[in-house]
Amino acid sequence: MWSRRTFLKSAGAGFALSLSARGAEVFAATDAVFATAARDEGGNFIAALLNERGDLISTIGLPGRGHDITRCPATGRYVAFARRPGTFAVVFDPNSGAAQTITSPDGRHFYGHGVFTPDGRLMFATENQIDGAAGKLGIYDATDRFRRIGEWDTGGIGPHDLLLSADGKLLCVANGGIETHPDFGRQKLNIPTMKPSIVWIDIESGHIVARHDLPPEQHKLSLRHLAMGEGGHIYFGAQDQGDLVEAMPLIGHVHPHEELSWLPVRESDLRLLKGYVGSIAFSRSGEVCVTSPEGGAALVLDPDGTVRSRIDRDAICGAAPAGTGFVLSSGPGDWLTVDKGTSSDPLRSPIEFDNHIFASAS
Amino acid sequence: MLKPRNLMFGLACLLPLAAFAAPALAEEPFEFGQNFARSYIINSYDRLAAEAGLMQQTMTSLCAAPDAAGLDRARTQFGALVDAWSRIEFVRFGPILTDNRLERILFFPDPRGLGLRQVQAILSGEDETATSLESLRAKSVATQGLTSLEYVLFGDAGDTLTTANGDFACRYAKTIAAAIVATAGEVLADWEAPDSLASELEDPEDDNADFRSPREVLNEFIGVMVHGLENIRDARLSMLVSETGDVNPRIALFYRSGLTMRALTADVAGLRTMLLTSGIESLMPEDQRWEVGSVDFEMQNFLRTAGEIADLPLDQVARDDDGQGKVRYLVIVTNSLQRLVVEQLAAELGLAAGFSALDGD
Repeated sequence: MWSRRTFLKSAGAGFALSLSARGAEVFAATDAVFATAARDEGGNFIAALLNERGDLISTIGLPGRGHDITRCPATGRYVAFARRPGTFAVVFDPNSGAAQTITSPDGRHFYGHGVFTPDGRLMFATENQIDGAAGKLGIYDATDRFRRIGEWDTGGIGPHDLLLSADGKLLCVANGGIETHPDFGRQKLNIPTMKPSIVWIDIESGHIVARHDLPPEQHKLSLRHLAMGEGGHIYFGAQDQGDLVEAMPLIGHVHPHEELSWLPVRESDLRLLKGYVGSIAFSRSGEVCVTSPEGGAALVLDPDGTVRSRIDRDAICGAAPAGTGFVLSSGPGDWLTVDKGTSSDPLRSPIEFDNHIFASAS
Repeated sequence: MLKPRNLMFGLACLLPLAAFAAPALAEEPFEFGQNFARSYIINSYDRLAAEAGLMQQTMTSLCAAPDAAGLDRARTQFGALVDAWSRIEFVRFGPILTDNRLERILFFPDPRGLGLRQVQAILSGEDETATSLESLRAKSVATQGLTSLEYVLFGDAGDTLTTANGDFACRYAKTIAAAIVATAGEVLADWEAPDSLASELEDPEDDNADFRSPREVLNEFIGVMVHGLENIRDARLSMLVSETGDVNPRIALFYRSGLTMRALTADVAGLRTMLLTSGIESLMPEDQRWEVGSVDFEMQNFLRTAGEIADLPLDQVARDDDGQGKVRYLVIVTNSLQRLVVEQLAAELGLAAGFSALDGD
């Protein structure tokens, strides 16, 4: 999470001055800052910064519905990505309040997720090459007004979430496997033949250096969201596009030198997720949190698949590490924390939260 | 200052409204779930299976004695089959998702024309393996459903079906009809099985695999409505509407047969019947039950306007001002319906009302 000290260092006094009186007050008392896409009371799509308790620090308008947010480790600027099949990403500087909107090139749209290199020089965004439905990583030069300087193949259809490996040398990309086309909104076009995968891409060459595919009986598990675990492992959450008759595995982890591995979660616990993981997060204490807005449930699990806590809440989806536990958010605007088996009283926000919460590394 | 509390206490506060819990405690079925599963879903699949059976019979007759009247009957029956499918196509959970049955019956959208090319290859190569039910069902799902049948009946091959020259195409079309009969029959059988989802919907209790509370049944119902409306807007109407005039009616579903608007009408008529036969208002606060009427009112607006353009050529609908105005109005009504369902119906039922509910990513 982003400590107050780090935040002050990168944001400087200017950010605090740009806040409303209430926002400044909240900011002054906060230890951590979280970013999420949301919708305000007037129905406007926004990106919002909040503290761990869910108090609003500041917001910025977006041209459409956002999805995930990332942050440049060098400059502290945030980037809020459009939800698929949107074509905008808004870069905003919490220090100055300055914002820049970038757009995906013709024939491409964003999938809603992006990540910076550790030095903050480059930003990678998952994109769809609409003609041919090829997954791409758009490469943007953050030092040159986010000029798009190239793209790499992701080796699959529908790349969604992506993370930098622990050593910063590889990009881990979840190819959800689902083809969509802007002519038909968000309709899924290839469920019978979808082939999800997770790939590791060399950050220098753009070559895929490791790849995890699923066996035919699991080909309808769309691998979509990622969370950095321990020992170089990255945890992932899946969304089952099948009939849900059988409770398919939904949570696992990958490592570039190991086989993909599923967490042995009890079937009765898996069924609470209704075949759908909306967000995944990994805490400092080594626990995994998955949310399911479809099931109205969040589960906190040990890495051995044992469920430690369950939180029932309508449309719960956002999840991020906070302290030794997690912060969670819901569509109707609830914000709560869970840690060591107890959850906080939810704070009902005046804004409605979208699917993800971003917490930068401390 | 955070006030951690016992998780179980938190859960107790979040569990379903008392009104939803009551039916599960009694021996009687959950009436809403029973209406949803049996009065709507099973009846609709039953009708689909029956219309598919008639389609197969009609094709059998046509192939045995090809003539213009037989082709007319086949084309007319295709319309009835499309109607029956459109009235249930928005139910996208349960047995319809097993073994790609949804795509077997309707492979659409197909923006890259993959299915069309496969059907054309079968026709041009006179691939006899496409005229046996078993081997056709083993082929690509794109070659054995409504869009394939439409292409054979209404595409280039259509007119040959009145003569012996159309023998292969006719036998292929007859086999497609048989495949739809088989797929629809499987879906119906799974819904009617003793331990099917229907029994869970009408008796939602803790030890069920999927529907453990009346609230989950309601969530599924609302989800069907919301996603059904989204599908109508994004996959059925959007290509007919453009602010720039750049419309493309040729990629609309059932463009060849001229059944685009008829299918759309059946979609909304189906959603309306599902809503009005569900008894949902009995689960709402008495002073809010009028909201079901608001949804019905908008659905009737949709049906009336769609009816006004249903018999016009789709190119005309998409390109002239009057048609374009009506299609835009249909989009507005569809958006309005989505809002009403999420922000009023779902909210009054105590379900998730956030804008991101029911449509994660």
